[in-house]
Amino acid sequence: MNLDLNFGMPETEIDNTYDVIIIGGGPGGASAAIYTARADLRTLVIDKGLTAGALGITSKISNYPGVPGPISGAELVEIMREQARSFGAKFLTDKVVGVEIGEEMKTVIAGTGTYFAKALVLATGSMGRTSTVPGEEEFLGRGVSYCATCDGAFFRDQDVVVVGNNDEALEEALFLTKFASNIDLVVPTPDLKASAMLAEEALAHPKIKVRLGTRLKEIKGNGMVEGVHVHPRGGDLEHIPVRGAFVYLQGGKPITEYLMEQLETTEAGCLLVDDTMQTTVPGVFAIGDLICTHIKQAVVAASDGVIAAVAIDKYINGRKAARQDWN
Amino acid sequence: MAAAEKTAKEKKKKDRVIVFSTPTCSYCNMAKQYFRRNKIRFKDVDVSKDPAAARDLVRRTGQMGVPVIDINGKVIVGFNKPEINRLLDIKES
Repeated sequence: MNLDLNFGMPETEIDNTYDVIIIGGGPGGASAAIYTARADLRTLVIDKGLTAGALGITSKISNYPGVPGPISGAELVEIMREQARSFGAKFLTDKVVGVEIGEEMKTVIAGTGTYFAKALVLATGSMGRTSTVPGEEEFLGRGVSYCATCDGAFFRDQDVVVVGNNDEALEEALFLTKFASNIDLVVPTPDLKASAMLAEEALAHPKIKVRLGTRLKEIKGNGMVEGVHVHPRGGDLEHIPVRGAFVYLQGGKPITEYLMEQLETTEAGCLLVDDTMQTTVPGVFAIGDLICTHIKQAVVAASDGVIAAVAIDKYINGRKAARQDWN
Repeated sequence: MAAAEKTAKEKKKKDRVIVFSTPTCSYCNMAKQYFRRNKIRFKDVDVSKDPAAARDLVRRTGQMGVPVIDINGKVIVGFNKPEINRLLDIKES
């Protein structure tokens, strides 16, 4: 007789089950995590990387209340994350590609695995791209990709470009070294905006050529990608013959693709919430730049995170009134 | 009703689903999980281990990316849930 004491869930699913999963570990997500962890809710924060978000890429911040600075945005986010960790919140560096919010138990699908939670906090911010370069849409899937870990195998022994400046771009470029012959890392900013360790690894890799201060202008090809035009700052337009272009650029749009249209957005792509930060789906909350209704500042996102956390505590524990965490 | 159910079951048995994927592709994993959850049998072709399969995929579909899902010969690029649901007659609750 097989006694299924896991109630039908495979063993790995028990370890991957939380009270709350927070998608996005910037000031909103980290702040929510501090409060949910302190409320003894098993908390997981899934975040793409320290430099993926608006605060993470800010070089100097001096106006965060209580932190005179100047301090780098990445340092400030790390302080918040460390604080959340100290109360028991778990942080996972990964990208969420999909969620399922129709059931009472929500599902979060990330690169490293699938996770489950009673409540979700969507804190993915608004660094999503708003426009593409000529040729990008035409050659999507025909040499243009947004996922090296998905598509790298198609570019075995080929030359490729990776466009971007943050942790994600560097990680993907390093992944591509397993397959590609040469990787031109086209960095639109004068410096890399990534963690020092990753930057060092990428700069030292013999297959990676880093081109700082260089913008992607066009992707060219004939049926498939054959090259890219790039413009180095202060220089002339250059053509790089490549078979693949992996693009990790950012913009100012709310990041909601992983929701797969399960939540309505405004015309500008923003999510709608009530005054407890809950969306139209019970147990799903959205905070920070994702909701676009107020000033886009780190301290405002942090405040949203607290409101959501308190509401989640009430939601999960069936409280009649919100419980205050005074200190 | 019983006859309609029987036909639906027979159709499910006959549906041929192939997922072209790579092990580190999270969108591929999402698609495979979706098939498993809906009890759809599929064949998983890992194009990172099989360069011939990768070349064949590019030749047949023009796609240098995964996931590509072949449902009874119809090619779907990416995890296109509405199209998958339509072709496999999946009704989500």
